[in-house]
Amino acid sequence: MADLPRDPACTPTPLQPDLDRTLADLRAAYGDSADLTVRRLHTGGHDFACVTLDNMADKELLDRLLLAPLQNAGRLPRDPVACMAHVERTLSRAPEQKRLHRLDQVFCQLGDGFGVLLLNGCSHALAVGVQAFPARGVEPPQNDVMERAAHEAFTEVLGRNVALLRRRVKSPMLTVETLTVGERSATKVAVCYLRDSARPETVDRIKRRLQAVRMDMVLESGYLQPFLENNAPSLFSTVGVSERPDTVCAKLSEGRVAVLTDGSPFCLFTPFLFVEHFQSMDDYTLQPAYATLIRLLKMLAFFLAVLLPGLYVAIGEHNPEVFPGAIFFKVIDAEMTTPFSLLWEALIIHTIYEIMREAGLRLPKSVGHAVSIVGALVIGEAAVDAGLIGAPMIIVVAVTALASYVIPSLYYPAAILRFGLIVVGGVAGLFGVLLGFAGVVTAIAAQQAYGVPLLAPLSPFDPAAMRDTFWRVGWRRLARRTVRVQNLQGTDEDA
Amino acid sequence: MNSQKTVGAGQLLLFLTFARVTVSLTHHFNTARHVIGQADWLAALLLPAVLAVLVLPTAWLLRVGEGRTVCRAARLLGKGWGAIYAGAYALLFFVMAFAAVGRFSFFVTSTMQPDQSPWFFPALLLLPVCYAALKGLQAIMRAGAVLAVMGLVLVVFVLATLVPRMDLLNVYSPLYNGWGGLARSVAMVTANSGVGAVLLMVAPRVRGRWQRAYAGYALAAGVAVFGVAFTTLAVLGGFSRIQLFPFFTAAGVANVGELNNLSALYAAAWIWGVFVQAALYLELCWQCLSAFIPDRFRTAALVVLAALAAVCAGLITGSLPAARQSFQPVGLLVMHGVYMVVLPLVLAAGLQFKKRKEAAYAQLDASGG
Repeated sequence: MADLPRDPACTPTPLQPDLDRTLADLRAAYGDSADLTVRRLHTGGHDFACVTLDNMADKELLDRLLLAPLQNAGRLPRDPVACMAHVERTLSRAPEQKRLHRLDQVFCQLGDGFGVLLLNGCSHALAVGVQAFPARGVEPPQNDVMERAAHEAFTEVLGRNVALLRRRVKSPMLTVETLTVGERSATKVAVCYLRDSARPETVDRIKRRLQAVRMDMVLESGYLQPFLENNAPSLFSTVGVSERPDTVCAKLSEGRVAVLTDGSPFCLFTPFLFVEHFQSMDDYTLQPAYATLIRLLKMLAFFLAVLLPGLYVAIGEHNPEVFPGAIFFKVIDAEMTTPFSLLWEALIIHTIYEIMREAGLRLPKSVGHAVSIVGALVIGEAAVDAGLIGAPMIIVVAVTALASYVIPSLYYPAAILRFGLIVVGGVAGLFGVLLGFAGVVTAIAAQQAYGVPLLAPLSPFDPAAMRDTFWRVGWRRLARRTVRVQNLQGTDEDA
Repeated sequence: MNSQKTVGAGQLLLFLTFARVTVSLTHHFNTARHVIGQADWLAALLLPAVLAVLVLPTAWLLRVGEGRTVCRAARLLGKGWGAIYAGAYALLFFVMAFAAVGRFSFFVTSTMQPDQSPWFFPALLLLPVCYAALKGLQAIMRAGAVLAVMGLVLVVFVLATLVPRMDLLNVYSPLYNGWGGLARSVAMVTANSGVGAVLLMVAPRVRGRWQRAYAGYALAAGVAVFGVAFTTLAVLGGFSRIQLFPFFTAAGVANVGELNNLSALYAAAWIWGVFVQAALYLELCWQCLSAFIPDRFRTAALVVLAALAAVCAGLITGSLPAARQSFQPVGLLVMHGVYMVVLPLVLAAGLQFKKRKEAAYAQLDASGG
């Protein structure tokens, strides 16, 4: 196999003063790509070249901000370096401009939609911000849908996402540090935190972890999430995800660190606690009593989503005496007509349900409705009528499915645990499920997010944080003191 | 938080209480050989005072050992002492681990699932217990606190549902069998309170005052044993004497609305208690032996220990005499007396003697003698 050309974006090469050679290098690097536009101009006694990528930069803006003033400048300093400094200081009207010394920086800026001005005899270039790449505007959130909270979600443009945070937090304490990850994609990542709230050690560790990422392409924040988590594999993440700027601002005020990735509308934040799965922005806009009720319902839903099928199989197969009398006879009656054991029934029906969910999720909406109808007919009617599956099992699946949608962020862990507990329940009965549950609690309890226990403030117990855990007190009391995540009981300062 | 102080005082309190409550679920009245255990509820009320006395050697050792675990404190007297104490306490925690599992397994195979193999539940417990022990003391205590709260809520719920079924005519004078009967009952409830031995390993790693946690445990243990003993007696009366697990029988007759059988809640509380206890005892046993195990074999050693504990628990379950022996208060009393009183006292006295000797030499050096 012939050797593939090496990516020049991965090699730091200094810019040459010879304009022709630099342009030749650029063309060679892009492989004569059709969207590379080079406009050469001779003005003020110097040879200039303006390089852009089609549809990434606004050429009209580039002309207004840089090229027109340059052409109308008359005489320019003779020395190329002084001439470039003059252009940079006096002629350019662009509010955003950068001096570039290496070829890989030129690639990066062109990819970001900048126009790059090169000058013969000068070993550095000037990049001006004239971005005009196609991007979605700020739209309502698709996943974190709330009743009363703001209807704005992050977009795919990093700068716009930072602006969404800045608009809500005007304090100069909000710090945004930019890093570049991905050797080929050169994706910009913004680490955001409040200097007076976040633990400096946590910020440093997050930056170190991001800088240590060795990937060719970083196309979504999900690529970076595992690098911010603990090394030990776990079903439960120590990194939170949100597409809501208001949620992220609230997290920042509690001492967390947010990571925005260019090209992704999802913001990562950490340390993330298990109880945060049950909190939402609406909790803070609705009446405290109702918010408390919602939280308790969410917790109940999580237990149902994980345990209900396993418990049903375990009790039905091994300990039917635990069922109340009326239910016992109904279950026995239904099971008499089916050819499978409860364990197999549960596994089959849950597998079909997950397949249908996957199908419905990725299909266009119009076809998705058809999938729902087929699913309802196949599972709801035909399977029961044919005597393949018992009616109580359909109810269990339906309740489990509904419950698992209540906390979307826990859907995937819950789905995996559900299958595991169904098998354990079928094999080992009630005790197997109870032991499995104890194992899950241990797995969560063993995790720490940057020194903060994942199970905090439940265990280790922190009474001060309880006012916003199982229940939420009113804003008059909640506003008196902000609980910082690193100040929770049991936080390991050495971690 | 200091990374050495990994256990909260509240977590310790919850663990000790839950472990004692779990043991009290197995409370049966015929072991003290007196009429339907009428003295047991009074003995339970005396338990906090007994536990307060029992902890004194531990407190002295922790003070003299300057916050070291019993194994590390013993090493101050010499490597040989260190090895003896580490081996002795490793054996204690190993026995406590398999006894906890064996008792539960015996309960399951004798009541809820009589057709189940005696090896099934020890084998079932092996994997999660091993996993929890590998995760370490901090994870066990954190998970234990959550499970303890849930388990205690279940026990209180079962007790509350039994209140309408209580008949005070079933409860006689606690001194029906005289002071001797009361003394036997006190011995029995004390024998089942051996969980205090974990303090010798865990207290040095507690944030805050372990003494407060222990005081809370002593009171909670008294209340819990009283609650279980009194309620069971008042509900079942003389019938409790012929039951292997009277509180389980009582839970079986409790009902709330359409739920006519709360024995599953009883079993849930017990299995979580057994899980937490077995994981902690195994982890402590492993810690005691860690000085003798090369680092690369540590995980394998834990797995072997867990497998051995499962085998021993299986043997208890499979043999009625062995099961009876694991419930006998005399043996338990002697074992806990040795480990909670005699060994800590000997070690504390040795350390005190060594300290005084060193101080005397230092004084002699200072005076130029």
